[in-house]
Amino acid sequence: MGVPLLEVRNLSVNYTTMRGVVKALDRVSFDLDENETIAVVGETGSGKSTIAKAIVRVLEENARITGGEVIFEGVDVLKLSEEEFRRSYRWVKVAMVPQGSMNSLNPVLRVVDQMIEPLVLRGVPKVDAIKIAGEALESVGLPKDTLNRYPHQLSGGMKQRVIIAMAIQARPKLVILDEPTSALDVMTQANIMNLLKRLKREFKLSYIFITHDLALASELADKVLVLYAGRVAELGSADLVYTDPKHPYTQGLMTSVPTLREDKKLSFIPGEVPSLINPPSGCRFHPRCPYVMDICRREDPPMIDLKDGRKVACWLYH
Amino acid sequence: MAKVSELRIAGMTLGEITKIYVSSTLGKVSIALFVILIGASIYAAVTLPPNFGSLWNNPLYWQIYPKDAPPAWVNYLSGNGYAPQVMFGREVSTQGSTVRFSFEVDNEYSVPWRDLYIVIKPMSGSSTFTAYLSIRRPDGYVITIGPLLISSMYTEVGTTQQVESQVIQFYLAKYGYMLTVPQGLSAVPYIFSTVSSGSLKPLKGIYVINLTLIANNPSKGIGNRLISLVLEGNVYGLMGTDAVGHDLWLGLLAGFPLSLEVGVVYALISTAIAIAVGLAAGFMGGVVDEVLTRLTDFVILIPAFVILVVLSVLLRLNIWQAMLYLAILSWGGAARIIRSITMQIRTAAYIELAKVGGASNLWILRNHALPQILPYALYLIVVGVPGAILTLAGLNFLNLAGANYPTWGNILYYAEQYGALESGMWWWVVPPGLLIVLVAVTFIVTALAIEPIVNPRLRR
Amino acid sequence: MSMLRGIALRIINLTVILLVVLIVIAAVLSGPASQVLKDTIQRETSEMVTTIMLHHPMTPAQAEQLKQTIIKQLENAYGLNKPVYIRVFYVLFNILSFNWGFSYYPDAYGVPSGSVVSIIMFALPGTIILDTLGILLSALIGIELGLRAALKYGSLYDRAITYYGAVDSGIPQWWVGILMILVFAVYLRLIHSPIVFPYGGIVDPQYYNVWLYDTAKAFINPKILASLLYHMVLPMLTVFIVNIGGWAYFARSVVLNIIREDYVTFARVKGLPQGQVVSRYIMRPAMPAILTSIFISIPFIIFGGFLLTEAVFQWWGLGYVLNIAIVGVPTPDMPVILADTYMSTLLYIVLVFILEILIYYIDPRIRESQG
Repeated sequence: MGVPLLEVRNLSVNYTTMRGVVKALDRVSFDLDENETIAVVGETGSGKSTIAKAIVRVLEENARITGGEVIFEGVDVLKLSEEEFRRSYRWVKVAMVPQGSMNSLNPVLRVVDQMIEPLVLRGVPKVDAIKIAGEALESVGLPKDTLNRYPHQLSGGMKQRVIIAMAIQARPKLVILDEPTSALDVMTQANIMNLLKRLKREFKLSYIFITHDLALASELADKVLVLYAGRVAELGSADLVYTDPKHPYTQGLMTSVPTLREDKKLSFIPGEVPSLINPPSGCRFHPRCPYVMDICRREDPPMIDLKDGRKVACWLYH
Repeated sequence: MAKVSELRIAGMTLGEITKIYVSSTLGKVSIALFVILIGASIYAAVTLPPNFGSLWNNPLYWQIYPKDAPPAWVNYLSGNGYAPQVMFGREVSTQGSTVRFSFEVDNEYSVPWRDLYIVIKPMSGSSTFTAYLSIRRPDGYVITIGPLLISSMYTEVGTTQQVESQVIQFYLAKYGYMLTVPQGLSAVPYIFSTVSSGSLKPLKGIYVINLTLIANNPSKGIGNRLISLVLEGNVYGLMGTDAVGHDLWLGLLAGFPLSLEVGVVYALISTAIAIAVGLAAGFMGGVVDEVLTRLTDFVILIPAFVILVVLSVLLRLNIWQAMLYLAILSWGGAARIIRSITMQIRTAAYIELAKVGGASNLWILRNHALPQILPYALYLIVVGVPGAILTLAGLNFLNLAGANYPTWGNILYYAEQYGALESGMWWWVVPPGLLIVLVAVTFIVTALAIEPIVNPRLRR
Repeated sequence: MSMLRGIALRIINLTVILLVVLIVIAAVLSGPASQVLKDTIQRETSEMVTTIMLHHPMTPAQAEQLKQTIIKQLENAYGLNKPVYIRVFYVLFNILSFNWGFSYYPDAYGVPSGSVVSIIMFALPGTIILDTLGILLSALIGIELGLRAALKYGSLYDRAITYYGAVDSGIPQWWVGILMILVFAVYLRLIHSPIVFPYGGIVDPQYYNVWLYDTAKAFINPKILASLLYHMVLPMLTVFIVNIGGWAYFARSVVLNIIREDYVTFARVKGLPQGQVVSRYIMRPAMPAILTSIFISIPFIIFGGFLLTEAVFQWWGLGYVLNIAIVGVPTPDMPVILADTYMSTLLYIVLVFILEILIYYIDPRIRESQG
């Protein structure tokens, strides 16, 4: 197996807002190997995007990493200077396809100008860069003349594919995809998912695939990280998590996904996502948990290793 | 139809908006400034007489005031050297034809009074009086002045030929000093001076002034009169005086209510036009949009100030008419922005939903477009006021678009004409501009305070 | 290619509007403009008749009759006897062909012939220098300051710039000019400071001839140039103080909106250095919005203030001339006022032209929406 490509250890992030301090991430840990996909799954506000931004170090002004390590190929990148990180990692080793890619393109620049920027920056002559950009576009199924267009002339799906093309043209090791298909229609979504699978195979990429859509995640994921209210609920191989979810939250998520095959009854998890400024005491899920026990209210459950290699944060398995 | 208490603008109820507003520093500052403005306006409206405008423009009314005088508090800063304005008055009611008064004044100033006025109220054309003044100085000498013919309400004593020669005589007799009173200047300061080691110096101490007033028509007698003696000072009032003797404090005060009224009315009118045009163009599209956009482009291309100047000269506009023309010429930029906001709303997804649900255009306009436009409209109104005040002040500076009332710009016009700048008369030249800035800044700060409500992105 | 076509269309569009504006102004002013024309005709006819009399002596009565005949014919030729809507076009034609008549008070402007065209043309360089240089420099400095404030959002520097910028649009530019003169001309002299600044004027009076009649030469002559710069200090300072804040404020608020945009974050994610992020992803998208937000204040603040500032500093420009024509002479000098208005309008429209084309060039989205 060797050294994992990425190790995230006890990553914690706080946001300071007008209403108080939001504890967005609390001791999140996971590993990712080469050519592996981990799906980070959770509801809106669970902190999924925060993980992505923390790894690429583009958190907002009012955010603070209060603890933890992000070890990429053996190096804790959080300890590097901004300049060092920018030069050696951003769009070299790790790329990100952000949420809402529609708005990630500069409206006043042409596609080609935006695509060749990271290449030219690293010393690639402009002519070659344009060629590389053109090839990348073809890889994602877009015609070469897209280069000369402006973002507002492209459809949502096309813009998404441009961003993906930009990500792979840099031949990074890791691509973080934050809700890459949430604003697209089902057909385009399917196309993009197929494209992502193909690119992963072709370029030996690793993905962190962030989504709230379980069904979608199941198509790509080797591993699954279930995030609830900024904390890891469950972490394990996709097969196991999907077929036999252990954490009550994961179980709730699984049963609330409609499938065409089974004739299941649809259920949903009662209650709302808690406020992260004043999270509930003990286990953050306890107000909504059908199996809640006394200890759940008092103490925060540790990550428990299960025999099948999974980790669960739940007192049920203590 | 939503209740007022549930009315939401930009996603917040009125209560929430007020709370956010008051809690911010800017909000507090703007409220404080508004209190000052409105307070000053109310004070002005209450204390100034209704005919203040015509009073202001009547130089005779101001003649007993010192001219070009700095504010009285300058004395505190510069060691009490300047003689202030002093007035003594007595009411008489007599059938007799002679009255005598005695006034005492302490001259502790190094710059003596400039002139002396005898004021008799009321004064009718038929009665005249003769006055004699005898002034006992601290050094014991007595100067006698008179006879003076009193035929109008205000009689200025110092520059009459007779008084001049009487003072010169005095100096010759008592000091053997040849006094020259420069042409056109008053001889009064010399009444309060003395000669010491060959040069003129102020004579400090108690002076006793005796006034004898004789009715020239003995059969009529003095009657019911208020008789005053005014010593024209070198400093005056809270804000000093200008070349005519205007009490600048009053003049500046008068500017508050006028500026506020004109500014606010302007903002309401021009914003209303901008909203009407912008909404219509953005919402209806098509030909209407084309026409209105061309119209807007046209209006933007007209230099409002320049045209306003010509119009004011040609048509002799007053300040209200000028304001109206300005409103008609300056709604362009705002209309463009409202149009683009409206277009964004119109093409938004939820509008299509509403239409599918059977909503009429008017309903959409009222329930979706208007509530979103309203905050920005409010912002426009607040932002529009300073522009009008500055422009109109500029016109006033050219002595155009005035009112029969002192305005700050106009005060500056006269200062410029008179050369107050070169003479260093800061109290005439600085405060009017300062007040313009004050009023403008009040609205600007208010606009800043409103911004987070209008532009949600700026909310932290 | 299509961008050039787009710009060409914009230019045509704006030119059409310019003509419409001129027509409307001509219509509004046709009354006094006609009067001015009448006066010009009177004067020119008198001169003509006097010249004729030198060669063909005649009695006063004959001369008078000749004069009246010529006047009548000229008035017809200029359409002064036609109804209003036709007269407007004659007036327009006069405006466009620089037939602006003569001042009622020629001595007031230092131009002996009293020709209004000369009066205005002599004043033009002064206005162009102060206004264009002033606005350009203020914009550059202001945008730079505003950008920096936005990048340091929440800092002391940011707040200082915000308050300065906000207050700035409420200060009458011409009054600041008065203050400048009070402090740097009057008071400095009072305390016998070795460095003083002039009360006003554009160059030393001894150079007026060169400046007015041969302006180009004035720039080559170092002495005159120095005099120009010396006189420019206070007015330019005034322009800076009052304008930089406004630009800074607009720039800051626009940039603040843009900084939160996803594409700015994405630019950083791509590994672009801060400098490139700022110039390509913040400033470039910001420019059209900054320029557009100026559109609300253009009508009053930018143009009106400059004219009056010139008057205060007696800076020989359109504003100075206008000031004389209105308050410096016994009755309003209509010919000069009218011509000054035309010229100022033209300058103003050119300014707006340039802004519109700039916006069009910089923001491709505008090109789409307006074709």
